Amino acid sequence: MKTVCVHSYKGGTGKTTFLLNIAGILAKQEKKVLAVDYDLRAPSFQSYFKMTKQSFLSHFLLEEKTLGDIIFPCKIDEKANLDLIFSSMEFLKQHSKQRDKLSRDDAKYLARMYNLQKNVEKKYDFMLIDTIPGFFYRSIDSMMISDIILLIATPSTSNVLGIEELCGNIYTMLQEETKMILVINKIEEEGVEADKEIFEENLVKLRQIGNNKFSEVVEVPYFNILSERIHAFEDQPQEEFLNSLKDIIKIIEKG
Amino acid sequence: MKKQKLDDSLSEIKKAREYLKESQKNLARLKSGKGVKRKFHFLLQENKVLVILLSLMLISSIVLPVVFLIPDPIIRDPMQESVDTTINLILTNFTDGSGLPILNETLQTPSSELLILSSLAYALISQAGFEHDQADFQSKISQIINTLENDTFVTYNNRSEPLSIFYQFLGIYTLLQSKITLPSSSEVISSTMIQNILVKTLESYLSNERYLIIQPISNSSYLIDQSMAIWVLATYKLLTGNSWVHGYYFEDLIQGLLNGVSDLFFNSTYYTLYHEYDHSTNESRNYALVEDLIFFTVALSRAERLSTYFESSSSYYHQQIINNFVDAEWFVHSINTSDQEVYIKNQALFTLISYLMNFGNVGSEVRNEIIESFSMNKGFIEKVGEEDITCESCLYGLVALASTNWSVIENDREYVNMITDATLSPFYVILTPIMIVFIIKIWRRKIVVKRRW
Repeated sequence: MKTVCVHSYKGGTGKTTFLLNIAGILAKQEKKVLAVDYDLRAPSFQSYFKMTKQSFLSHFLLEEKTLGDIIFPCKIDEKANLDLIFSSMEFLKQHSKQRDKLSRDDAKYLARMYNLQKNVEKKYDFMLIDTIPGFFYRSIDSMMISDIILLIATPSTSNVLGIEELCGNIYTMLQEETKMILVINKIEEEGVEADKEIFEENLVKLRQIGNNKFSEVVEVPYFNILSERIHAFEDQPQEEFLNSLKDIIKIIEKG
Repeated sequence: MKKQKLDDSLSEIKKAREYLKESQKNLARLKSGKGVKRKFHFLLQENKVLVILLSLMLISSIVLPVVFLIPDPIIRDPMQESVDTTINLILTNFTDGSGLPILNETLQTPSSELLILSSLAYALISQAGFEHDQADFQSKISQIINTLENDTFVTYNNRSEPLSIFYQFLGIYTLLQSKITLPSSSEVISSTMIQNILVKTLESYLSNERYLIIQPISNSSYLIDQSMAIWVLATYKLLTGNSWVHGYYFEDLIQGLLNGVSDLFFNSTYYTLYHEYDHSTNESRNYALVEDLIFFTVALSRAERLSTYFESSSSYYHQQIINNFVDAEWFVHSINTSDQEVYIKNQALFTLISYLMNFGNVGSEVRNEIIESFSMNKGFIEKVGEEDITCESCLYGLVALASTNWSVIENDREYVNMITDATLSPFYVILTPIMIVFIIKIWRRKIVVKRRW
């Protein structure tokens, strides 16, 4: 089983859309995939799928529920299956004690995630983890247990600066045992459209960072992250976008 | 605001890096089948009261039995043990029927030199505060001094020849130290007695023509004799606070001897010193050996505490000894570092003067070498590489062991009569009001300047 973690310096880079679309493509290819929503600050799997019962990753981390309780199978068609683990913002808001525990510097949660990984490694071909953007203890946990880290970045100035910082401080420490792939999502931020120069300048900088510090750099065309669609499941998917994701999958499978 | 954000961000990164490092270790532990290492502070946050109670119980379960049940372990100071065994050895092997120290079984009559050295060693050990029956020490010292007094140093009765000048002055030094060691009620040594012996010695050996210590029947003067005389005179002045002795003004006397050394024993080109001066040929002969330099260095260091002058400082000569006579392992050689014979006497004396001159780091190194290379199971050997334990070698071992603590006490005693306190006090009286007026003036001026701004 390959464990892939999708990370970003800041939110709104299309991280979850990427992850679920990659999961969708892999599932369509009849691969056994488990997608984990570990973005405890802004969980969003529920925007794509409908939950049937209130069992979340936080329950497993806090040893309140077993692994079997929190995995939800999602049948796409006759042959394709995608298993999901959810997190819930509402649940964490209501249970502030649990939220506080989960945000602490505590190695217990790394051990729980490792335990999760060990328990599912024979059942799945891929485990995809959606993380909290930035430097947080739980995002570091997910990066630690991953074989591949996909860093999603948009060509905004803050993203460029942030990724430089992440590279200098966090990624260099993980590089020895983890494959690092920079995915440049060429999204144009609202209001930035007019400033093409800055966009291009940042794109060049991102490419430079990618070439210098990452094993691979992949560019994907602009797409609307707010659409919250899984293209692989649709009848008329955005082919250009899907093809760019297939390139990433090839790298993942190879790596 | 921006700075605050930056600081927060940097602290977040630091925390993240630390957590990442810790996680790498934890993951390795998990992969090897072990559990994770969790931070204690988390447990504390979670179950504060429980953790505090458990900690208290744990600490009590360890501390209480230790405090109340287990007796204090007896830790013996290795130096104390060495002192005890050495004294025992002297008492069993090197003491005659009357309790006086002897060189060996064949030489049963105690020599004055050995009596002086014994008395000095016992006085230093006693002052250094080693655990011992003080009354026993004092009775031994008294016995030795009584014997020496019968010999009266200069007008000897029991001797075939007089004491050397060096031992004559060392004897006076021993009397000074013994007087301090004995209780004030003791009548064995009186101040008058020491003063009389000092005056008699000076009258016998001080050449008024040249202000030099010289044996009347000899053609030569020796640096070691001048040094011992300077050391004794300076110490006498520093310990008693007397300025005059029988018509001699101490500082003039010491300066005169230093001038004599400068004229006859000092090579001004190389700042080196000679061992001997031949009055018949008016020649300085042979370069000073380590023993000459050790005594001159300590003498100069004491003279420096008074208003005297010499061409170079005592610390310069202390360094010269290290450069020319002390090897990399802190062995003190007699002639130079290639000389193979290393004696405990030089090692002990250099320890003593190093501590007395506040070079404790050197003193401890040289003393440690004595403990390591000269100390046998029961006493001290004479020479590195041989196994001869003699009464003298044991006494020098005791002198070295006493040096560390004794030198501190001696320096404090001497400090009382140092030039700075004694002579400069009238200057302080005049200087203090001037300084106060000066400071007030500056202070007022500052205020004016401030107001202008």
